[in-house]
Amino acid sequence: MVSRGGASLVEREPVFSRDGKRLLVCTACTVTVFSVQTGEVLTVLKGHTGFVNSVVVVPNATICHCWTAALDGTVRFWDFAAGTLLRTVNVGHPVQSMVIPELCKPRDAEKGDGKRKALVAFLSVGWYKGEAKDESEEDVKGRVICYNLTSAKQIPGHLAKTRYVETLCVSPGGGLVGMADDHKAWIWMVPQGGIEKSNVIPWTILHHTKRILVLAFDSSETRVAAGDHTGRILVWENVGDRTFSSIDNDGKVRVGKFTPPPKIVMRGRVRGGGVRGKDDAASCTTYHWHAREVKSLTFTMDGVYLLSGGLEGVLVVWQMETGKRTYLPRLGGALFYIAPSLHPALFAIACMDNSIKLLNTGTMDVERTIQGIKPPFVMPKQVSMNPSMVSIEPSEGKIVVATHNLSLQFYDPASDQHVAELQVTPRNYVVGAREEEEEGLSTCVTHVAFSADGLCMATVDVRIGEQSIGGGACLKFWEKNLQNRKFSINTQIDEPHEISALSFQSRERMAVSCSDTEFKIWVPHERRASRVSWRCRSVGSYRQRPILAAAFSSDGSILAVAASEFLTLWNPATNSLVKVLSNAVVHPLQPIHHLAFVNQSNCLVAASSGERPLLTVWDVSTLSVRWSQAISVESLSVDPIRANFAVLAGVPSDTYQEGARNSDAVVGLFDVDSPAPLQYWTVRDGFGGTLLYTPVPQTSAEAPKKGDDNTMTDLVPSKSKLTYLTSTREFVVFDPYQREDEPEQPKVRDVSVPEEVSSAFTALYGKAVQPKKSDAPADVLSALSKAPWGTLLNGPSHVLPSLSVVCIPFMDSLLKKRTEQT
Amino acid sequence: MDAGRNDYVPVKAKAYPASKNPLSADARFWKAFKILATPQHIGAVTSIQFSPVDHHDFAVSSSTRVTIYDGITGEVKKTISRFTDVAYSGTFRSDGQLLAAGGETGMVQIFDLGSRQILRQLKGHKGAVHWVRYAPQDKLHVLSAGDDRTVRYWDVATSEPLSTLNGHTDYVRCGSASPTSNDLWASGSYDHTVRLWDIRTPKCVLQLEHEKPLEDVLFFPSGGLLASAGGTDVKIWDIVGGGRLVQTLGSHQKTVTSLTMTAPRESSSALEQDAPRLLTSSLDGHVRVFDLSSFKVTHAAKYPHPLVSMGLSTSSQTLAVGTSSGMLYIRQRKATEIKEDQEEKPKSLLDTTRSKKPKQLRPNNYRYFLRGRSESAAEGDHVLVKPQKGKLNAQDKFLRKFMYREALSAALATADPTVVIAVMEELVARRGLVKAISNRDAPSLEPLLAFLCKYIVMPKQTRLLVPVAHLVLDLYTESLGVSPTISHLISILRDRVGTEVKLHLHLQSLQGLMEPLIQASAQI
Repeated sequence: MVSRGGASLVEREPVFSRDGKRLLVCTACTVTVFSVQTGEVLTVLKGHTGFVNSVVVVPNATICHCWTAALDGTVRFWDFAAGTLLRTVNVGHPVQSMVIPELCKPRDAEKGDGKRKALVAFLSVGWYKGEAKDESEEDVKGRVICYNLTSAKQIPGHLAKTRYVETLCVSPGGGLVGMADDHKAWIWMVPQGGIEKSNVIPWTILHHTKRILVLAFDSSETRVAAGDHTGRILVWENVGDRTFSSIDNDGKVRVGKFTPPPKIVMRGRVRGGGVRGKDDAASCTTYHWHAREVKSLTFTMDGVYLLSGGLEGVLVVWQMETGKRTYLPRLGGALFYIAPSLHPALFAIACMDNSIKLLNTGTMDVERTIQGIKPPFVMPKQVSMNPSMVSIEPSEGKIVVATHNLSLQFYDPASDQHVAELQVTPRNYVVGAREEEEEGLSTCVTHVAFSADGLCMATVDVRIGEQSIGGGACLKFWEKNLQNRKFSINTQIDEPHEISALSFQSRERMAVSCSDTEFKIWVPHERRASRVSWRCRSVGSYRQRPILAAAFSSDGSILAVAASEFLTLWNPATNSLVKVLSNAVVHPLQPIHHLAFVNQSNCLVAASSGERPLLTVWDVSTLSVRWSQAISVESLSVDPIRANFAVLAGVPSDTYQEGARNSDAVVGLFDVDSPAPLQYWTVRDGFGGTLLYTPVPQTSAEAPKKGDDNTMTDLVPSKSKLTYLTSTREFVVFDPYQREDEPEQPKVRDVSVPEEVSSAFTALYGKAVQPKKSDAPADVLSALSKAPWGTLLNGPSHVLPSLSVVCIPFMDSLLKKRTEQT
Repeated sequence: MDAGRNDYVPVKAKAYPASKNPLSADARFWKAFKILATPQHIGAVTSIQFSPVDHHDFAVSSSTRVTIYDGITGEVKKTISRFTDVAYSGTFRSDGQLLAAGGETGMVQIFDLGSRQILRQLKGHKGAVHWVRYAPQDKLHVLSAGDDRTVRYWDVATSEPLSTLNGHTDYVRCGSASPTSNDLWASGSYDHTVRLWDIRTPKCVLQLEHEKPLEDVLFFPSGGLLASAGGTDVKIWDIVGGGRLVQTLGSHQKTVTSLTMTAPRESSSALEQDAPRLLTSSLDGHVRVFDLSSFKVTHAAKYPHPLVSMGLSTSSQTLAVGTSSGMLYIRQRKATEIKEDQEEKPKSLLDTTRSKKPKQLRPNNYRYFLRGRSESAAEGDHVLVKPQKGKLNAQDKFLRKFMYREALSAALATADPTVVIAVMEELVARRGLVKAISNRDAPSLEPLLAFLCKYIVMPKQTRLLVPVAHLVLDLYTESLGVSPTISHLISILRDRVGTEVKLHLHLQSLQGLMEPLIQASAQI
C-alpha cells in the first residue's frame, strides 16, 4: 500500500463551499476537501493529471458541485460531497486560471432549469505559438479566452494576449473579471445576455508604474484594488464609469456597436487625482504600509474594509474611508491568499508555512489552522556540512522535519496530518526578512536524531554570525514525557563543536557527534540526585581528519567513524581504536558521507559521493569488502528487520538518457550479498531527497531474532516501510517488499458530512450553553431555525451582509417554500 | 503554537552551565557580606570592638581617638578624642552605655557614650595598656593588661585595683574573659605564654606554652576550649583537659593578629552555618574562616593591606576589618530572617481574651459594597482567569518594535551580563547587531564600552565580546578623541586586554614548563 502526502496547500487560493462547511484546497493534481469545523480531510478529488489551478463552486447550498481547471488542459465537474467526477471538458490548453462569472451570483439550480443559460468560463491559458505542443516552454504565451462549458466549445476570439500566463479574478457579483498583467490591470465587464463572440466584451485597462501582482473587486463592482510588488495598494474608484455605463443602462450588450474606450476624455470634468493617463476611473488612492510585495487582497463583503497580506506575514485590515489600519501580526509566514467565505467575518488565509488559517475578523483571532507539512527553508550559506534535518520518530513513526523558526514539526505520514510542533530554541522568527532570501536563515536546526526507543532526542541548532560575530551552535538532548508524550529539554550544551553528524546507540543511552577533526561520545551522567544530564564522556580523533559520519553497530559494541576516506572502528566502551579500514581499489578515495551497520548481518555500508562515488559493503567479521559499486548515494537507510538496505542514488552519467531530467534519481533496495539490487524505483526530484525506513518498535524487531533467522523472517510478515521524502517535502510511504502485481488496496475514506457551521453569533460570542430541559423554549428555538430563510439572518445586524446580498437568497427561500407546499 | 498565531517570545536570559564546584553554604554566607564603607583613619586600626547590645555599634581605636560607628549604616556616630597619647582597645560595657579604653599613657579611662565625658581614670599601670575589657557578666569590673607585665582587675566605681595579677615576663597584649565563669580570665603575653587567672585567688591557674609572642586569645563559647594566636599559628587548647593542645591551625603566611568567633545560634536554620566559625585575620592581608568541627578553612578573603584588627557583630550582620594603613573595611550582610521571630509568637493557652466576633456588615456601611474583594476561590469553585498578558521588559518592547539600538541600550541598562548577551545573540539571529552598535552618540556608547571593559576578559563572554569590541573599534575609530570618557574607557579596555594577554603568555610558558614534568612523571 502506497500512501502519498505532503502536498502544498497554499499554491492556489482555497475556496469555501456554498454552505460554508467545507473548504476546497488545490493540492497538486488533486483537490482536497477539508471540513471547516474540524479541519479534517473529508474527500480527495482525484482525476486530474496536471496541477489543479482553479476551483469554482456552484452557488447552491444544497448540492455540492464544483468545477476545477488544471494544467492538463481539462476542466472537470465534480460532486465534492461524494467525491465523484461528473463531467470532463477538454479545453486543449493548460489552464492557469478559470473564473465563471455566472456562478458568482447566488441562485438556485431549479431556476436555471427552465431556460438554462450557457455556462461561460473565462480561462487564462498557456498558448503555444505553433500548433505543435512539444515546443520549448519559452514560446508559451498567455491568452485569455472565453469557453462555453455547457457545449464544451471555445467561444471564438480571445480577450487578451499576455507575455506570461496570468491569473484571473472575478468580482463578488460576477459582473467584472480582472487580470493583473505586469504594469497594467485588465478589467472586463461580463455581458448579461450571454456571449457569442469574445471580442465584443467591453474592457478597460488601468495602468500603474509598478508591477501589479494582485487585484480585488468590491461588491459594488465600481472599486478595484491592486497590490504591487513594492508594497503599495492602489484603489481606483468608479472604474469603468464611462466605458461600461452605456451598456449597463440597457442591460444588454449591443453586439457590434461596442467601441473601444474613448481616447480623449478631458472634457472639463474634474477628475480625481492619481489616475494615470486616460484610465477610466474617477480617482486612485494609494495605501502604503507593506514593506515588501503585496501578495493578497480582499474586500470584505460590505466593502468597508480591505484585507491585505504580504511577505511580512502580517494581515492588515484597512478601513477604506479613513485609511486606518488594524494588524494581525506573527501569522507564521507570508500570506499568499485571503479567501472570503459566505460568513462575513470568516476568511481563509493561505500562509507560506503551508497552513490555511481560518480567521475571524470580528475577534481578529485565528480560529482553526489546517497545517500541512512545513516547507523547506533556505539553508544558510555558511552551513557547509550536510545537514540531516529530517528523521523518523521510532516509537510512533512520525516524520520529524526541521522548519523555520527553529522548530521541529512532527507529521503523521499515515494520515497526512500535522501532529505537533516543538520549538527547539524560543525565538521570534521575523517573517519576510530581506536578507533571508540572499543569505538564508540566520538560525536553523541542522540535525535531529532519535534513540532507538524514541524516548530520547538530540538536536543541533546553529546561529550564523553577523559579520562573523556571535555565531554558534547548540546541542540539546530532549527526553520524552511518557504522560503527555511531549519532549522536554534535558541538557543544553552551548558550543559543543561544529557538528556534522549525530547518531545514537541502539542499546544503551549513548550518542556520538562528529565534527571537523574529532568525535565526541555523550552519555547521561547523574549530576545530582534525581537529575540526570548528558555530558561528554570522551573525545576521539583520527589523524585530524574531518569526520562526516558515524554509526553504532546494532549490539552497540562497535562504533564506526568515517574519518574522511578511512573507516575507523572503535570500541565505544573503552574509547580505543580497534581497526582502520580503507578500500584501496579506487584512487583517490572520496570522503565517506554515509555510514550504517546492516541489521542481521556483520556488514557495514559506507557511501562516498563526489567525483568518484563509491558504495562499499564491508564484512566486519572478516574485515574485507563484500562488494562495492560506483553509485553516487544521496541518502542511505537500513532495513530494521532484514539484512537489506536502501539507497537513493543519482542516475550515473553513463546511463543518462535523453529526456531524463537531471534531478531524476533511483531508489534501490540492496542485499548485503550481491551488488545487484533486489528492487529499484525511479523517482523525480532526487536531489536533496531523503530515504527513511520507518523503524519497527523494539518488541517486534526482536521477535525474529529469537528463532532461526531464515524461517522466522519468512513467517513474520515484514512491516518495515520505506519513506521517501523529496527536498520539497512531499513524501511517499511504501512497502518495498510488496510485489507490483499485488493489487493496491484502495484506501477507504469515510466521507462524513461535516457538522453544522457556526453562525455569526457563535463566531462572535462562542456557543451558548443549551439548557438540558427540553421544554417549550426548545421548541421555539427549533421553530425559529426552521424558518424558511434558515440561518441567513442569524446574528447581530452589524455583521449581516449588505441588504443587496441578502435580499435575493431571502426572497428565493420564501418563494421556494411556497411552491413546494402547493 | 497550534492556535495558528505565535505570540511574541520574550528573550530569555542566557543560561550558563552550572559550576562544577558550586559555592558552599559557607562561601555563600560570607560572600553575602558586601562592603558598606571604607573609611580611612589616621593611624593603624588597632582594635575593633562591637557593642553587645542591639544595633551593634562598634568602637574603632586608632591613633589618639576612639571612633564609634553606627552598626547599621556604617557611619561615624561619635568620636572620642580626649586622649593625650595613642588610645588602645576601646571596649563597650555589657549594656553598651559606657566605654573603656587603654592608652599609651598607661591610664584606663571610662567614658560615658552619651556625653563623651570621662567618668573614671584608672591609674596604676606603669606601661602602655594595650588591652582592656569589661567583665562580661557584671557592669562593675574591668580587666586591663599592660606593657608593665601585669594584668589588673579594677573596680570601676572606686577606681581602685582589686587585684594585680603578676606572672607574665613580657608585655601582655591580649586576653579574653571566659563566657561561662565570672572569675576566669585568660591573658596572652609576648613571653610566649597564655595564662589563665582566677580572680578570686589572684593566681595563675594554668599556663599554656604557645611558643610565639601572643597577639590574641579567645575563649570558645563553651568555655572549655581556648584559641590563641601568635606568630603564623592559631592553637586550640583544651582547658578542661588540663591545657592539652587540640589543634594547630597554620594556614597564614604572616602573623595572625586577631581572632573572632561567630556567635552561637539557637536555631541553625536561621543561619546557613550550623557550627560556630572562627575568623582569623593576619598581616598577610587574609581573613580566613575555620569550621570548628573539622578545623578546615571554609572561606578566605583577601585585603590589600596587612590586617591588624577585626570584629564581627553578635548578630553576624556586620564585619569590620582594620588595617595597619588605617583603612577600615566595614562589610554588611542583608538582614533576611528578621520577620520570622515575629510570626512565631506562641499563643498562650491561657489567653482568655476571646477573639472578636466579625462584625456583620450592613448596607449602611460603605464597606458593605466593597466586601468580598479579597476573597479567594474555595475548592470546587470554577475560576475564570483573565488571560494575563506577560509583562515585557524594556529590551523586549524595543525588540518587538524592531528598535535594535534601543533594545541593546535597554539591555545594557540592566547591567546583567546574561541579559545583555542574550539580547546580543537575539540581535545576531535577526541580523541586527551591527545596526544596533553603529550610529551611537557618546552617552549611548559609554554603557556599551563599560560593559566591554568589564566582561571582555570573562571566559564565558569573551567569545562573543571580542568580535563585538573589534566592531566597536572599527566603527568609532574616527570619533575617538571627541569625548574624554570614551577615550578613558577605550584606554581601560586596552589595559584589560593587555593584562589578559600577558597573563595568557605567562600561563603558556608555565604550561610549557609543566608538560615535560607531567610526561616524565607519567613515564615513571
